[in-house]
Amino acid sequence: MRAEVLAREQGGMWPWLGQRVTAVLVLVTIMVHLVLTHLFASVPLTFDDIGDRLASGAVLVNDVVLLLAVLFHGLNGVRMVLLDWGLSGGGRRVLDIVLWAVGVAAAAYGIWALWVWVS
Amino acid sequence: MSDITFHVKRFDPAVDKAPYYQDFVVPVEGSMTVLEALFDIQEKQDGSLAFRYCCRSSICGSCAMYINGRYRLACQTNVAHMGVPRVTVEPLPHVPLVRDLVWDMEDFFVKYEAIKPWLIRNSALPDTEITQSPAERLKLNMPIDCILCAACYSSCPSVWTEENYLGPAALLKAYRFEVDSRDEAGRERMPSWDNERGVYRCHTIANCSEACPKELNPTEGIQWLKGSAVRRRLLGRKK
Amino acid sequence: MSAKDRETANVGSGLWKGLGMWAWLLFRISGLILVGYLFVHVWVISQGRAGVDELNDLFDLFHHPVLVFFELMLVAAVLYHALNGVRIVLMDLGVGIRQHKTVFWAVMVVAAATLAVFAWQALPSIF
Repeated sequence: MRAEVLAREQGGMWPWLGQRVTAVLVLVTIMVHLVLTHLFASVPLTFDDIGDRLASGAVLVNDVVLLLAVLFHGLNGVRMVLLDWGLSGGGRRVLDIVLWAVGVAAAAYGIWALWVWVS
Repeated sequence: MSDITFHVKRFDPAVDKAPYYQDFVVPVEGSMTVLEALFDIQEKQDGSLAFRYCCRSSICGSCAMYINGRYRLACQTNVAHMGVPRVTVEPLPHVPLVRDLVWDMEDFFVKYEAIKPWLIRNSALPDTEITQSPAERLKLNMPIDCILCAACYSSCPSVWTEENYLGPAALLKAYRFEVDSRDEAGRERMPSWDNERGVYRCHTIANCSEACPKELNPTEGIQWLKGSAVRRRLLGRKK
Repeated sequence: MSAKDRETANVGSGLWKGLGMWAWLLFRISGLILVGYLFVHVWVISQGRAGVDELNDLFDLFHHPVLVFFELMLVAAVLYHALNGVRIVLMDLGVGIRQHKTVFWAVMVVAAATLAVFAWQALPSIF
């Protein structure tokens, strides 16, 4: 017990700080995203509406920032939940690798999906 | 004088398979506390009842218990003031039991020791006292009152789910020394609390502040430590 | 005897009546729901790759009353998570740590009011 408590894996500030920074980023970008999509948009929503909005560079940047920030925030949140379920040591390192892989793949997939309207 | 029923949780691992409750009726008079009622039970009814106590004046932190569903110090809890005919006395929740109301505090104190709970000085000691301004001393007022009763530790969901999490008491002590103007630890103490079994395991649930019988606020201390880690790393500050 | 071998006292007691405890649990649950939705959302939008009509057909599905209701629940989860998150970030900045319960109810009033606006808009599509 004594040795386990005293030997602790270092680090933890970056995931914690990253969660706060992305929280604020998501809060701002998601408001822009939701207001444009639901308040100033035609009902029902169509393929062409999305194209009209993404034609603006600012909206495109907003949505890409939202995608990246929310992926980090969500997957980092999943990590936090799993750590609280008792994951530590080797399991934690595997989890970190898996979550980064999922995050990068999902980000690439999301941007690839958006590019239909850009190109 | 009125008869009060004490519904006490009992457990002796040498004999019992599982904890059970036993009722004792105690004639309560005057300003009798729960601790005094336990003495009465031990002396007159059942000498095998085990509980921890020491100072009887809420400064040693030995007799923290779960009394009528609340974290209290038995010595500080006036039975008459509770105004109920029946008082349930249980050990602190979610901690390893030794016997009856006594639990195993070893892990708790190993964690306390891990944060180096003493002033760390690097400069030469002055011939006189190390002075402190009233404003600097004021910062210690809250954390210095901690008596290590472990009520906060027992109430924290992060402690329940991670056995090596330092817990609110040890982190509040870390805050008490880090925030002290006389402390020159620099980053020496940081590795103990600046990690995911330290401050980053705290999710600001604030059960600790609600449980504390001394009405302290461990959350406040832990939040200061998180901010301090950011200030030191990103802004190059000392604290 | 090590702590691990010992009986644990009063499991399930503690501060389950504490507001911070419930706020945290709901925060976790809403967060996990939103992560699930995030992936669904990315997949739906990616169907634009399949063609204009494919995506528009998919959008039409979302006018079904059940899905409109689910969408309203999603809005509730977003609002709860976002506004409780504001409270948490404020606490990280050292603001309102001692008043965290008051701040909680204040942000919940904002969340409820916003949800009411969304519900007002959505109700005709559900009934």
